[in-house]
Amino acid sequence: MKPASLIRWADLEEHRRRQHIGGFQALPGVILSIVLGAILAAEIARRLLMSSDADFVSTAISASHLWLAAAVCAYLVGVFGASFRLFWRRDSKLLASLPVPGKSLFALALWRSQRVAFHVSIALACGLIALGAFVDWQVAARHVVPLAIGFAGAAWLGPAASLAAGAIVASDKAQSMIANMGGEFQAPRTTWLSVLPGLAATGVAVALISCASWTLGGRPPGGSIALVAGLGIGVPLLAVAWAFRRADEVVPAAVREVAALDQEILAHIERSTPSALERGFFRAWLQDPGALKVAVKDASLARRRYPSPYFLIPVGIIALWIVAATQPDAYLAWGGSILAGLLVYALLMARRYLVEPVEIPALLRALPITKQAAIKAKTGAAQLRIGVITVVGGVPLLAGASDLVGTAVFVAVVAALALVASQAWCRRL
Amino acid sequence: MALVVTKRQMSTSLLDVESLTVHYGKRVAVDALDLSLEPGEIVAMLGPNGAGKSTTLLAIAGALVPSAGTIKVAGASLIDAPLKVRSRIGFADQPPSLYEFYTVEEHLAFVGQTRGEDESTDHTQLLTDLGLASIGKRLCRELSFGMRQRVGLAAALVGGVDVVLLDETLNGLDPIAAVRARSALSKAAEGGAAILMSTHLLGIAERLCQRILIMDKGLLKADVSGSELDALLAKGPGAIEELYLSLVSEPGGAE
Repeated sequence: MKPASLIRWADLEEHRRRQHIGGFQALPGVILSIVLGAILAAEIARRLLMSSDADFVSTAISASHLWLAAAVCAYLVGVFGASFRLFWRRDSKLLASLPVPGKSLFALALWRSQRVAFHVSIALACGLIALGAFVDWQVAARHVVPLAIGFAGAAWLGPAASLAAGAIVASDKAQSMIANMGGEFQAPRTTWLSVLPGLAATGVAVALISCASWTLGGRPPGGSIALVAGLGIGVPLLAVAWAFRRADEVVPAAVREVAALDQEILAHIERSTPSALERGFFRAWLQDPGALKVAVKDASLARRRYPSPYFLIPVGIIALWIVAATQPDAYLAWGGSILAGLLVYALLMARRYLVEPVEIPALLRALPITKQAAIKAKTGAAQLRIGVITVVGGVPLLAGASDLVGTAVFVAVVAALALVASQAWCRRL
Repeated sequence: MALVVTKRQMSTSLLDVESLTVHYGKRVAVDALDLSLEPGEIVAMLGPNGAGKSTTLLAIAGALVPSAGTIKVAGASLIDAPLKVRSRIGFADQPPSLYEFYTVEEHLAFVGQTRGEDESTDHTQLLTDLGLASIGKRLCRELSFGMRQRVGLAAALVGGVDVVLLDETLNGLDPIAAVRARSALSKAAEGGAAILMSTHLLGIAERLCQRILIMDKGLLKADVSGSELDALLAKGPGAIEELYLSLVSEPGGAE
């Protein structure tokens, strides 16, 4: 099956699925991007319109940083999503037994990643219009560089990093080497499908944040903005060209690994159990025995199927500690972006707890467990992650902040938003 | 009754499985299975839950990575030429993997196109044979269990596949649907396809299949065909059940 044909089939299925789910998911992506972009633009405009002449410069800086933080968060989600578009697909079991060429599957993932990156870029471009209209069009034009780097990262580097991870998953030689290095600790092969995109996302975030000073007229990072832009766009392009060449070999084998993992998942539930923190929290927080059972089951399955949060959230928290300790110039842009990114990631993981293979809603309805108990279990798991990120990562950020009140308000608002969103999300079970 | 499991002649085989072994962690789900299927053969695979039937089918279909062994279809290896081999295998898994938001016709068209069919290929005859013509325009998510089973069977048959693998696909069908399904499978076998089906329906095995495999704890315990099977069936109803009960242990474990 040719890539164009597969994309057409996949788009038809996705369109109908979104129409069935309804709500904002049924809206065309461009409309949603413009709505979100308008909100970003409105906040930038509000800040600048309310500033006095005396603090206009600092307000302009904060507006630029807000835009950059939004760019980092949105593009990071785009990069992380690549593995889900390529491997962690709901139809991986069917695809594993069909003769679909790896190149076609990769082209589909690439198409979807580019579409996500395009929609994110539209929303961010709306923010730039506000920045241009109320600050300076030249300053707004400079923000096009991080916009282009972010687009390249989400559209091309994410899928390429996922494919590189797939190559490790599918290679027996690489696996035996890693197993020898790992000693007693044997993570599932598919952990790489989260780890490498995580590293790629970190690279994109670093590239975006390094542009922060230059976009406001400061010195270019590394002495040359052309170098940063060249690397930020050139590396993803080269990576995607390499990935295309390897796709036929790598993708079918990695899809098979993912399908096999789903196949084995119930046979192996006893092997992955909730972490000590999860067990303690669930026992203390969930009084309902039904909710406790659901929470333990969810954590066991999620640790096997989606192990990445157990690695990436601690890495993100360590990054927050480093920001707090080193106090870079754009302190809130750095810290805020990482914190908000981690919280968005926690929300995305909460969503995974509502669908197969972690949850089977039809089976749940047939069990003597109330829907409220199941919702409480899933909300509890999301709240635990949000709480850990906010307390262990956010509090050190507060300790190092020069603007304690502003930083505290930011941390409190993003954490509260994440909690409210997780609750609303879990109610959709 | 003692039956010896012997390796079959490999030269004319459509499907050759050699020393297939699948581990789930430390547990051996399939243990060094040798199996070959001739063109036109309809083979039933019996065994208790956890015997390794589904795992065997998943591995042959390419949906599960075997720990060891080789799988070949018409001489082509699943490892060396995965796309070529998969395009010749039709697999109906359990529960059937269907694209919930495609119509029945669209699902068959998609699967057929992955196997090299043209966009204009018409599946009306297959849908009619399986009694699905009236629901061709319905979304897969709207179908009942039995209908889903039949759509899964239809998807396994599209694209002119050489090997058809069915994982308890005939279970849960009403009598008319079961007759239609048996007829469609016979037609595919007459066209030269080899059919391997796991089932717990001993009646289906007796009536439809020319060969019966019995698995237990990942091992092939019996492979009965030809005159052996004729002799067994001549003993009257219940002979296969007796053989089955004499060979398998109590059910247990995950399949």
